[in-house]
Amino acid sequence: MSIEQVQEAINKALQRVAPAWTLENSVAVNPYLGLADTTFEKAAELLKYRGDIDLYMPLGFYAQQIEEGRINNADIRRAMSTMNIDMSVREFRGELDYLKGEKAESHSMKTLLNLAQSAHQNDLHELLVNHTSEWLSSFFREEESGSPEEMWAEWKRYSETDLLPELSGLENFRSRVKNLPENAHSAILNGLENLHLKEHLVEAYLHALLLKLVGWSSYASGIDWQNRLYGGEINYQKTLLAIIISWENILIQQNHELEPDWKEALNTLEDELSFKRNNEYFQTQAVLQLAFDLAAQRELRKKFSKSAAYKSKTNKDRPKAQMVFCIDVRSEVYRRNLETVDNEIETIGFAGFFGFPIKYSPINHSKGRNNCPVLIPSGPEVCEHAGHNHDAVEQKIEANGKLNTAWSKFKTGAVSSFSFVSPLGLFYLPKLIGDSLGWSSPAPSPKEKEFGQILKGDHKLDVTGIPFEDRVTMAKSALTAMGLSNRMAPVVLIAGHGSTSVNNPHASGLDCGACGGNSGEINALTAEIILNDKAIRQQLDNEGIHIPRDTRFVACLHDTTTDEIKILNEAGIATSHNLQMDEIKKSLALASQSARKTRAPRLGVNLKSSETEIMRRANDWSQVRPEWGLAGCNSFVVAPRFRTASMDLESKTFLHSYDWRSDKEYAVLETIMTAPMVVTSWINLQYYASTADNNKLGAGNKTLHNVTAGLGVLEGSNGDLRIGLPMQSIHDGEKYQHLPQRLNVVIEAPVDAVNNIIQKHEMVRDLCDNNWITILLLDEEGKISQKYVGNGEWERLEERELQTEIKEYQTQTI
Amino acid sequence: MTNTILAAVSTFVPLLLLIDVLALGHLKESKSAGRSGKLILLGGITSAFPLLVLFATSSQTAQFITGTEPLGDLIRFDTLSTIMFIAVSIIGFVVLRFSESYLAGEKNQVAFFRKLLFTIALVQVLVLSGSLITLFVAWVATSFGLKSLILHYKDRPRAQLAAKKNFLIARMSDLSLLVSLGLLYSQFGTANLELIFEGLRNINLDSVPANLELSAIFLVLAAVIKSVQVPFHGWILDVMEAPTPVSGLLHAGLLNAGPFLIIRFSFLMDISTIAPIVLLGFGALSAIYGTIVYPTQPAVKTSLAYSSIGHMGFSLMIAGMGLYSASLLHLVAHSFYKAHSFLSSGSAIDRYRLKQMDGKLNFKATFWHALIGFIITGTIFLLINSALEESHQKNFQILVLGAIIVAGVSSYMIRTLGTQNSTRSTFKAIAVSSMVLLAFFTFESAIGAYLGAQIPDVAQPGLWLKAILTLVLIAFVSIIFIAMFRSPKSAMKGPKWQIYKRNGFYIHVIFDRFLQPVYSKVRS
Repeated sequence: MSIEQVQEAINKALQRVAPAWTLENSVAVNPYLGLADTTFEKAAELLKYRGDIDLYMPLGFYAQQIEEGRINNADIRRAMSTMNIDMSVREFRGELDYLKGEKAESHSMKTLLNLAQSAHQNDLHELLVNHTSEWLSSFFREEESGSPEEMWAEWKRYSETDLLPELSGLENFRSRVKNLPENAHSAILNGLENLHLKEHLVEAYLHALLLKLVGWSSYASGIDWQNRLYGGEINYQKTLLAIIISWENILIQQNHELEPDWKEALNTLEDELSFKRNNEYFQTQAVLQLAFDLAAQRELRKKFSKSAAYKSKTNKDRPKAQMVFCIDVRSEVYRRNLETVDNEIETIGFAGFFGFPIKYSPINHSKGRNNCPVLIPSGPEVCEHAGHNHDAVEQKIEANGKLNTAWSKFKTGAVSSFSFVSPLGLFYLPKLIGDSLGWSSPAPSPKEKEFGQILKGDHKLDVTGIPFEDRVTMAKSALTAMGLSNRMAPVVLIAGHGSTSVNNPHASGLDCGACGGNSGEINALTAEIILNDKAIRQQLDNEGIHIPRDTRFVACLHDTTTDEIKILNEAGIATSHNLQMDEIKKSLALASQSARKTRAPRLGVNLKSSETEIMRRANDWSQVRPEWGLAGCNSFVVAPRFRTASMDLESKTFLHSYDWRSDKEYAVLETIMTAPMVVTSWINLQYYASTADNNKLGAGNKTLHNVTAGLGVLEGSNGDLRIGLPMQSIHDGEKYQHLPQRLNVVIEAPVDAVNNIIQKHEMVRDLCDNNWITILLLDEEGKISQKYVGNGEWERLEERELQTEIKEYQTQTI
Repeated sequence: MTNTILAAVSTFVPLLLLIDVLALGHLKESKSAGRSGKLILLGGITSAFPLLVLFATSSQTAQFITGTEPLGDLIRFDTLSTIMFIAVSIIGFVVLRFSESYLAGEKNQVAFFRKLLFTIALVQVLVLSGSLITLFVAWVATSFGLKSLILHYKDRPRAQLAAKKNFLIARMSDLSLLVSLGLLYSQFGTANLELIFEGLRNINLDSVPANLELSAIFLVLAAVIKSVQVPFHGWILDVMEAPTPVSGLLHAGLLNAGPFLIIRFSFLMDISTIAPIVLLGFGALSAIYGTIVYPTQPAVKTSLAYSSIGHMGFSLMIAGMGLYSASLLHLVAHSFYKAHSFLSSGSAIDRYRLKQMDGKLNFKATFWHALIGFIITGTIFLLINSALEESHQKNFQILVLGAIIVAGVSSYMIRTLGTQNSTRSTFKAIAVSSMVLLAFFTFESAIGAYLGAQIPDVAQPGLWLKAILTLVLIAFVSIIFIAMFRSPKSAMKGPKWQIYKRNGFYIHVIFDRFLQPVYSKVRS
C-alpha cells in the first residue's frame, strides 16, 4: 500500500467523525456529517458495523407507530417498492410481528481491544475509554491547551509515568509507551504496519477506533473545524487517533497469544458487506424507517392539499407592522398565535442572525463570542461601550474581574477552601433555600453579565467595528433576502430568540443556533442600529433600496421558554411611533399568552396555571425539561407565509419566507439551500441521532450529568465525553417528544431552479441524492406536487393517489 | 413543659417519615409522594426550631424522651443533636424538593422518594439517639438506605461496584462501632448516653481504664471509615453513578456521621490520650489529600467528591485537636455548602462562561506581595483576636486553627496585590478579608457558647500534641503558598508526582485490588 493511499485512508477516517462544539455555545451538528457522501441506508450499515451505532429504532417502536396509525399500509408498500422488496404488506407485517420481540443483533467490527477483552476478562475497553477520556479532560481543560504536537508529547509523557494501566493489569504499559514514535503521524503509520491490515480495511478500522471514543473524537474534530475557519492547527483529532491506535499496538505487543486470533479476525473483517444481507431484523428496520419518513411526507401533503383551498390573501396594503422571526420551529407556534391575535401584523421567517454574522465582545471578556452560524467564520466585531466615561468604567470592571478571580481562587484553592468554608459555609443555607424556592438562582445568568447593561440602556452596543461599506452590504442583502426591500411597514420588528433555564449545562443548545448557540439579542440590536442609521439608509437609497422615512426597525427577543417578547431598546424608539408601538405591544402580550396556552399541554402544564407555571419552571434549578427546544422538527418550508398561514404545523416546521417571483437568478434561493437548509438538516439529524441511539450519539441521562473540563458532560463518574442531546430533551418519561424522521424540505420555486442548485453544490447534492433529506416542490396552487428522487430526477405526486391513501388509512383504522 | 411537647413532636418526625415510606409503597402518583415527605420534614424543622432557640437562650442544654432500661433515653434533644437534626431536615427537604422536577418522568420516582425518605429518617434517628442501641441501629441502617440510593440505576456496572465497595466499608465501620460501644456498655453498664457521659466526666484522668482508651480508638476508626478518610474513600468516587440528589444528600447528610460521632462522644475523646492523635493523623492526612487532589480533577462531581474527603478530614482533624465547636461549625457549614455545590453542579458551564467575563488574570506575585499580604491579614487577625472578649478561648489549638484560616485568607489578599490592581481593590480586599475572619471567630465562639456543657472544655495540649500541631500548621501553610505560585497548567508538565496526584496517588486502585476477591463475593 502506497504512502499516499494510507494517507488518504487516514484522512477519510478522520473526516467520518463529525465535529462537536463545547456546551458553552453548543450548536446542533449532524453527527452523520462525515457519512454524507454515502446513502443513509449505507451509513446505517457502516455505523452499525464499525461502532455498533444504531441509525434505526428498535422494531417495537415502528410496530407501535403502525398500531397508533402513524405508519399505514400504503407507506409500507411504497417503502418496499422503493427498496425493491418483493413481498406483500401482509407478509411483511407478519414478519414484523415475529421479529419485533427479538433483539437487534450486534455484529461489530473486531479490533484488538475487543479480542483482548474477550481473552482477558478484565475490562480493557473501559480502561482505554476512561484513561483517555480523563487525560483529554485535563488536556482540554485550560483555555489555551497545547498544539497537536504538544498534545502527543504530553500524552506520551503522561502515559510513560501513569501507573493506572499497569495497576489494572496491563503490564509494561509505560515502557511500551516510551517506545512509541515521537510524533502522532508516525505512531499511526507504525500502528497500521504492526497490525497487518489489508489496504481496503484501513479506513474502516481507523473509523472503528475513533468511534470507540466518539464523543472526544467529535470534540477534537470540532476544534479542527474551527481552526480551519479561523486559521489554527488542525491535527487534534489525528493525535487522538494516534493515541487509540497506540493502545491497539501495545495490546498486540503485549499478548502474543492474541496474534492467531487477530489473523483470523483479519480474514473475517471483510464480512462488512454481508452483514446486511444476513440480517432480517436490520432490513426490516430499514424498510420501516423509510415508511415512517414517507408517512411524514403524506401528512405534509395532506396539510398543504387542505390549505391550498384557502385563497391566498396577500395583503396589498401596507401592514401595521412586520415581524421577522428566526426560522426555528419554535417561532411557528408564536407566529401562528400572533397572526390570530392581530392579522394586521405580518410575520416573516429568516435565519435568526438576520444576516449579521458578528463577533460580540463585552467589556473585559477574555475572548469574545461568535454570534454567527458555525458554517462561516464570524465577521467583524461589535462591542459593548460604556459611553463618555468608557475608560473609567472599563478599568473598574477590569479591577472587579481581578478581585473576582482572586476570590474564586481563594474559594477553590488547596487548603484555602477550608478557610472559605468554615466561616462562610453557613451563608449557603439562605442560598440553598432561596434557590430551592426559586427566589434566587445558583449562578448569575451569563447572558445578563454579557449584555445586561446594554439592555438596561446603561451601556451602548458599538457597531462601528463593522466598516461602513460592510454595514451597507449586510443591510442590503438582509433586506433583499427577507423580501422586505420594496415593502416596509412603519414598524419592522426584528425578533431574535433565546431561552431561559437555570442550572442547565445544555442551556445554550436552546438558544439560537444561527447565532452560534447564543441568545439573539446582540444580532437583533445590530440589525436595528444599522437599519435605522440615516447614513446607511442614504447609501441604500443610492443602491436602489428605499426605506420609507417613517419605518422604524425595532429589535426584540422571543424567549422560547416563556414565550415572552421583550423589546430590547424601548428608549430608542421615537415618540412618533408611540401609538403603533402601544398597539403592537398589546398584540404581543396577547399572542404570548395564547402561545403559552398552545404549548402548555406538551409541557405537562395545566392550562389554568400556564401563565404562572411556565414562568416558574423556567427558573427552577431542578427542571430538566425547561422547554422542548426543536424536538419534533421534521420539515422546512421555503415559501411565502400565506401558504402555511392556515396550518397548525405543531412546532415541527422551520419556516423561511421566500418568493421566487422576486428572486433574480435565484440567488436568494441558492443561499437558502446552501445555508439555512443545510443547518436545518443538521438540527434534524442531531435530534434524529440522539433519538435513534441516545447511548452513542446522545448525551444520556441528565440526572447523571457530570460537567467536565468546562466544555461537556460525562454520564456518571467517567466514560466518554457525551455529545448530542440528553434523553430528557427528546423524551417526556412516557413517550418520545421527537420522532426520528428525516427532514422534508418543501420549496415553492420552479423545478429547474431547484435542480440547478442541487447539481451545482456537492454538499446539497449529497444531502438530497443520499436520502438525508427529501425535497418536495409546491405547485402554483400551493399543493405538494413533485419530489426529488435523486440524480436530478423528479417524481410527480398525484393528488388522486394521496386521496386513495387517505381513504385506505381511514378504513385501516376502522 | 413546652419543651417536652416540642421534643415529642419532633421525635415523631422520623417515625412519620418511616410510616410514609411504607405508605408510599402503594402510591403511583409521585406528586403527592413528594408532598407528604416535604410536609413531615417541614413539621420537624418547625417543631425543633423553638428548642434550638431555647437552648441558645437558656442554661438548659438537653431534653430527653425517656424509654425503659436498658435502652435508657430513646431520644436526646440537646444542643448538638438539635442543630444536626435541623440541618439534616433542611437538607432533606431541599433534596426532596429538588428531586420532584429533576426525576420527573422517571419510572421509579416514587421508589426513589421512598429510599430518600428512609435514609433521611434514619439520619435523623442517628443524630437524635439517646442510647447506644438506637445509635448503633441507625448507624447501620443509614448505610443500607444509602446503598439502595446508590443502586437507583441498578444496571450501571459502576454503580454496582460503588455499592459493593460501600457495603464492605460500611460493615468495617459498623464493626468498629460495635466494639467501641460494646466496651462503653461494659464499662458503665448502661446504654443511656446521659449516664455514660456523666460517668465519663467523672473519670479520673490519671487512671483511665484501658477499656475506655480502646473504645475511643475504635470509635475513631468507625468515624474515619464512615466519613471516607484515606484509604477508605474509593467508593465515593463512583457515587455519581446515581442521580445528583443522591450525591447532595450523601455529601451533606451522610458523610457527616463520622465527625458527628466524635463530637457526640467528645467526653470519651477527652479522656483518651491515643485516640485524638489517631484521629488527628487520619484527619490531617485526608484533609491534605482531598484538598490537593480535588483541584486537579476536571470533572465537577469528581472534584467535589475529593473536596468532601478533604473537608471531612479537616473537620475530624479539628475534633482531634479537641476543638469540638470549631469542628461542628465546619461540619455544618460544609454540609450547606456541599449540598448547594452538588445540586447546582449543572451551573458549571454558566460559571465557566462567567469566568470569561473576569478577563485574563496575569498574576505575578512576588515574595514581597506574599509578605505584605500575610502581614495585612495577620494584623487583621490579631486585631480581631484582641477585640474578642476575655472569655474567648485562647489556647494553642485555636491559634493553630486560626493561623490556617488566616493563611488561607491571606492568599486572597496576596493575589489581589499580585495582579497590580488599583488601591480601591486593595481596600476592598482588606474589607472582605476582615469580614471573613470576623465571621470565623464570631461563629466559632458563638457555636462554642451554644454547645455549652455538651462538649468538654479545650484541654491544654501536651508537648507531643504541640509538636504535631506545629507540623500540621507548617504543612497546611506551605500548601497554600505552593499552590499560589504554581499555574494549574504546570500540573500537566510538572514532576512525576503531579501525575500521581491527579490519580489520587492510586490509593483507591491499590485498595480495590487488594479487596478484589472480597468484592466478587459481595452480592450487589
